[in-house]
Amino acid sequence: MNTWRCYAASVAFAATKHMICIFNAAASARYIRVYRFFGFPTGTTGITSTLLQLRIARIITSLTPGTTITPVAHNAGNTSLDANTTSGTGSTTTLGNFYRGMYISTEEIAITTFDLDNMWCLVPFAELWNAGYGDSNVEPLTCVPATAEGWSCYSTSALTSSAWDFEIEFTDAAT
Amino acid sequence: MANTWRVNAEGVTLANGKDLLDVFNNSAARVYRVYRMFAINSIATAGIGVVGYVNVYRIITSVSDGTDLTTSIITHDTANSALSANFSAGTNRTVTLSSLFRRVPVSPDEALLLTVDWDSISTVVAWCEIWMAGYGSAGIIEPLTCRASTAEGYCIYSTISTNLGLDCEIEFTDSAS
Repeated sequence: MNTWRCYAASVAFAATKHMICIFNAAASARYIRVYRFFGFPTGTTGITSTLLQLRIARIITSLTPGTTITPVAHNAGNTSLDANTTSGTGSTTTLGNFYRGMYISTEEIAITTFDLDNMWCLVPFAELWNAGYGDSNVEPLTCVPATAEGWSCYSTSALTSSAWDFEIEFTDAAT
Repeated sequence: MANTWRVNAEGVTLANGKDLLDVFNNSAARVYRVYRMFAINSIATAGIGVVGYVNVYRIITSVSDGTDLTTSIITHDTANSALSANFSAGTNRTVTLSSLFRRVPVSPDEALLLTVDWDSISTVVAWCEIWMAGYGSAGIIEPLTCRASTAEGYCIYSTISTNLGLDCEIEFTDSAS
């Protein structure tokens, strides 16, 4: 399946901020299926923060990308995405259903330490959402054709916090 | 199963802007698919570590200089047909970076006995897998692909300023299409 990746580096947290999202406008005739979200802490400057919640949610109606993200293909030979499939960070959109919330620790990461901040640096722990966890019977988060919808990982608050990198792994298909 | 190969580079010294390990298809008429990358903390002597990143990049155009590791590429099945002469692997080569797929924060400091910290648990293989194709979604998620007859590859690229090192591995397949 043609596979793509959205990547946003060092995204600062803010209240109800869409840290990374992908949207399939109604004019798109393609299926966009989100398989995975990842989030990695990046800050190394000492700060005092508290727990902050990230949420995975469906987004609906429309998307103004904010800072546009250009998805990158896992195979550079893939057919280009439909122009109505867009991605961004700091986007403006409408929240739909809520799928998952998770508390994260957004303080600085440091060597010779093992706490919640640092655990998120390990790739298996940085996986915020996984479609099916190996079970192919479980559907990924899906954007269907001719329907204005998408998926977001958003922050619930604007605590003092370090920035994170975010990724969305998704496929693009006609059916 | 596709013919599967592996290249590793032991104790590669980190540096800012350094190709730690790469594989490159110099337009061979074969398709190479990168399934997994590992960066394993192998530091056992005391050093001064810093937090930094290992990055997963697509590379394009050409590779040059550095250390060629092509003869160190090993197969998972010795009955596999040999790789094309236009496919190579190396470390500390001059590469042309293209798309960035991921940057992983790492803590390259010495691992210690009887210690559970970021440095030490970075010796555990499951936590050293910096890239995995599909994560169980076999046949759905594309691995990172080097197309046939196209000059492109993938590399583990350091943006860390320290003289400590990591072991790096790239697992890939070789097929006609």
